Amino acid sequence: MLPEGRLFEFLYLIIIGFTMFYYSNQAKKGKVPKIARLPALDAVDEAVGRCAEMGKPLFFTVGSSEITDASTAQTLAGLTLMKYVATLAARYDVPMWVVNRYGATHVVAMDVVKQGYLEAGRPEAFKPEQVLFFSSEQFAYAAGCAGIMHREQVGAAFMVGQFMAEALYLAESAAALDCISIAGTARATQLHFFVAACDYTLIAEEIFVISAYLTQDPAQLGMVRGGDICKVIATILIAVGAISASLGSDIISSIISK
Amino acid sequence: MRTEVPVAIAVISGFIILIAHFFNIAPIQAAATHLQDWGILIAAFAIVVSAANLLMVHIGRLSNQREEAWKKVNSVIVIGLFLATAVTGVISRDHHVFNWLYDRIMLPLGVTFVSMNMFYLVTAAFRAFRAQSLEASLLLGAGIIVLLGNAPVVEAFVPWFSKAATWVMGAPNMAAQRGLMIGAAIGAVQTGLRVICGLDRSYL
Amino acid sequence: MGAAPNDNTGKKGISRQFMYLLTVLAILLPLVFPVGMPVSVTPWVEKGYQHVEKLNPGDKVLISFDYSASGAADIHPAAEAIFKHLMDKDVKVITVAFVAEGNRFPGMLMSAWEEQGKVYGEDFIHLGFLSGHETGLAALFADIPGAAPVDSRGNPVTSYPIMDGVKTVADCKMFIGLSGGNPGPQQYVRQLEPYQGVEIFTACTAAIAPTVEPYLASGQIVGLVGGLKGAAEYETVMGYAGKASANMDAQSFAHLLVIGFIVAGNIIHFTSKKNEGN
Repeated sequence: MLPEGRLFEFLYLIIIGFTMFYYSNQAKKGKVPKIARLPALDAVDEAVGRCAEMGKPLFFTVGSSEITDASTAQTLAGLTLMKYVATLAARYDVPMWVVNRYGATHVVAMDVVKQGYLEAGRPEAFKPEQVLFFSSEQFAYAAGCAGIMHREQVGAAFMVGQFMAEALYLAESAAALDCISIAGTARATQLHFFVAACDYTLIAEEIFVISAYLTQDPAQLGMVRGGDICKVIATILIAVGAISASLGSDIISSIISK
Repeated sequence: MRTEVPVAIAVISGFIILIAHFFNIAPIQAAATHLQDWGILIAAFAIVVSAANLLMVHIGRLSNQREEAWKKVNSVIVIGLFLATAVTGVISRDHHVFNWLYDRIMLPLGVTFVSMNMFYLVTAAFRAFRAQSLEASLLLGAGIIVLLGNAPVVEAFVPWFSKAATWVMGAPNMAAQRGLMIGAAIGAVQTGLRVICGLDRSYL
Repeated sequence: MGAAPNDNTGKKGISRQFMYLLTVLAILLPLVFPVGMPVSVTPWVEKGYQHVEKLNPGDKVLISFDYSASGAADIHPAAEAIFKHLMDKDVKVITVAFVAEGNRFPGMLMSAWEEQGKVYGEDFIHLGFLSGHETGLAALFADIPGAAPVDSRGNPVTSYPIMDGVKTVADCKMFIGLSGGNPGPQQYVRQLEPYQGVEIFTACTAAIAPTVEPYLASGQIVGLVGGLKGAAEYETVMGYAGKASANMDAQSFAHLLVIGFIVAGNIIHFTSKKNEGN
């Protein structure tokens, strides 16, 4: 029934789904797991508050994030934070500039920001001309972002999503402005630029817990716990596989390739 | 209805693609192929929507009396180049004006901007790459070995840098990449499952 | 991930403008006065070359040009070198682009080779730009004429001799992905997983080259040309010095300059900490 090589993949997917929903159910029943503090997310309220005090706008971008491929997960993570920040921005009357690289993401981001303003009870404050699309050309987009940051003298810059070579460009532009910069990406090749140049960075899978962390919803926290259990399972498989391969046995690789 | 319909579409589409990936059921496979084709069409149309948004913002700027003059000049340039590229691109896939705009304006500008990364890298390297702890020092050492290993001028005098750089990329780097990849992949699968089950509605 | 990093530029350290001036000189002077150091070839470039070398005249290869103007400096020299290798071996090349800005590059290469006697539609064909990134990849691999019914010149692809017998990517011996990031090697591996007989060879920017290592080690990707240095290595193994080789001196000195600044930054940081301590 299953094509060749898909059995382990299917079983692992079932395991991920099972652990997520099991721990989510456990959390709803009261066994709420604690997750480690994430200074980057703790700083979000402070960053928006700082913009309100200084009378400066804030800047948000989800980077080179599409919603039509595997970077969708990172895009959704960025959009989750975008809605939260939009709600805060609406509440504290902080202008919010959003720049998008791709058309599909732009359309969704427009709705997300509007929804954030709606949830804050200030739909009239939403200005569509502050959610911008410049170009899908990488550095035209990056130059546009840097231009907005410098011209508007933003007080905080949020860069959460999938980023490519423009990560350094954006991070250094924010650093030159002396604004609070909060970044996050699961893209390993750009993380170090954010860590080096930004004030706060969400590293790799930390961006996928944004929703759970900000809402502290027990069900979502339970799902995070489930995901961590799966990572432990993967680690055990890797360790056992490495040891068995070193001893001349390919049992783990033959199981995984089924 | 405003949220239920999009969530239902996301849930049904997600399950169809997921089932088609694992099981060879002809109607599901056909439905998955159609969904992929529609995905391509939607992505193409989204480009049109965003281009329209771009035009609207810039045309709005031109008609705004209070807008600064230099912004209006920028908008005229953007609209002019946009129309020139769009019209010539539609007239012919190989129009000489379209090719000229790409080869003589877009390509040099794109390459120029990516080159600016070098300057930012230099200031970031000076400012932020500090050996403040054992881990940072190890990381710095590995970075220096890879940098030197990719410089033929250094290779000519110290050939083992290239081998050391290849080892750093092939051993510790690969181990770290695998760890990050697995963690990010599991996180992405969780997000996908949440979307498919209708629990994550951040796209609304 | 806490307070802003220490910034010695312009305060107690070196001014930003001076650093930028040194950067310009480090890159410009070797271009004007080349040193001409030989480039050693790394194993993954060598393996990629050998896999292309094993192709026979008439074999079909699918190349995806997934880089834009900003990635062109890193990847286009590799594209030129690999394309030359394929043309020299009379391999039939089908090209496509999943990045809108990458759509021009196949045409540039093909025009140059048409002047040398190669024929569009027989030796190569460009299917044009397909939107959707990974979704587009999946659709193309499953049904090439279906996903791209007309080529970049507006003609039905089935009217060209090169497309005879080409239905899916499985009818090609190799897929070469020239990636600026998205779609990238991970996407190629994911979408080509059902087509086990098709080898994957990739050229990408130096920034994403480290992420390809796991796939090289597992054999899912047979070769990697990473950045401009990788392109210079490919030119070296092919036996000629092209644009990539010409830029290696500038790259070398730029790397040395970055290391110099890292060392200088650390020295200034630790001496000022020591002085403050005293």
